[in-house]
Amino acid sequence: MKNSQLYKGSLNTIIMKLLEENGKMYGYEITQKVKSITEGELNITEGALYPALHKLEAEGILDVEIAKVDNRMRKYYKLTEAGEKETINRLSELEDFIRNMQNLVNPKPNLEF
Amino acid sequence: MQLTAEQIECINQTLIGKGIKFDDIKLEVLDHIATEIENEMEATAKDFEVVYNEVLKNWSEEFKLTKDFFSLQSTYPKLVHSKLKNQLRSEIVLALTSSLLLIIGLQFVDDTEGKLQYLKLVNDVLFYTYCTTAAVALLIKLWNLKSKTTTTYKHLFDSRFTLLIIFLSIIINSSVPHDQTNQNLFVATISCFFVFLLSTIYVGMKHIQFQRKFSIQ
Repeated sequence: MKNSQLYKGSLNTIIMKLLEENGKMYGYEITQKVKSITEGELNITEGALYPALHKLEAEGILDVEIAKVDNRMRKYYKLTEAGEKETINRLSELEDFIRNMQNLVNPKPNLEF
Repeated sequence: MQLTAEQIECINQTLIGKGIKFDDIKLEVLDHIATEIENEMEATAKDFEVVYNEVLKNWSEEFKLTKDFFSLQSTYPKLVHSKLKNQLRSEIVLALTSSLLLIIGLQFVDDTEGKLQYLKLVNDVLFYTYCTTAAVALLIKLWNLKSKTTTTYKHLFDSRFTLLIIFLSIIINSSVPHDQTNQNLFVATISCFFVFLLSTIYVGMKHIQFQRKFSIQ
């Protein structure tokens, strides 16, 4: 990916959106899902993912489930009730941001004289 | 390709050696590394040792020791440090907000007698909160003695429990002067202490919650 800084501010919303769609996910699964959706363009590092997940958990947006998978424990993250509402707000904010950026990058021709 | 119990244990010991000793973090890092190794071994048909070293190299930045934000003596791997810092940050925000609200509340009281009553009320609320919190904290501490898991929450709870005992002597000892000359400062101090007490219980409860989820499996 050329400029990860552009995605940085949206990481939490990306995680919340994925959890909204998939119910519950574990860390590695989130990184792979993002990689596959963006066709390898966006690669979430461990150093960005886990602090973001821990922050969202501390804010009460995410809840944790632990399950035994194969021969080890796995920690799943899922949205709380408050998290589901917050996801709607943050997605709407992100959509506004994208729309504004599109308008700035590709301004519509001004037809007023 | 599923890793063997020995290979999982090898990753586990590496993480402990790198300072990832808290179960709430170690559990997910171990799973992440193990899954990554399994997928990589399947895709490239390389040996465990080769893939293990490659994957661990990607994590090296997260294992770097970082000075603790609120204790100059301790250093933690970056990943652990960021989780501890998150907790502290939300407490500071809460303490500042509640201090501000209580100070604003104090400004609405006009007369001196009313202000003294307001301060007495704040003081009383703190005293009863302290008594309840101390009792709950003691129960959590006793419960933790049986707990085999170590979490970031338990670490925070244990360090605060010691402070709680020190504060007990200050609150109970009437010979210690409770300075009320600067009323705003007094209210702000009480408010910060109030947040400290509640957050001690919060981290204690979070540890119990994690322990329960962990032991069910």
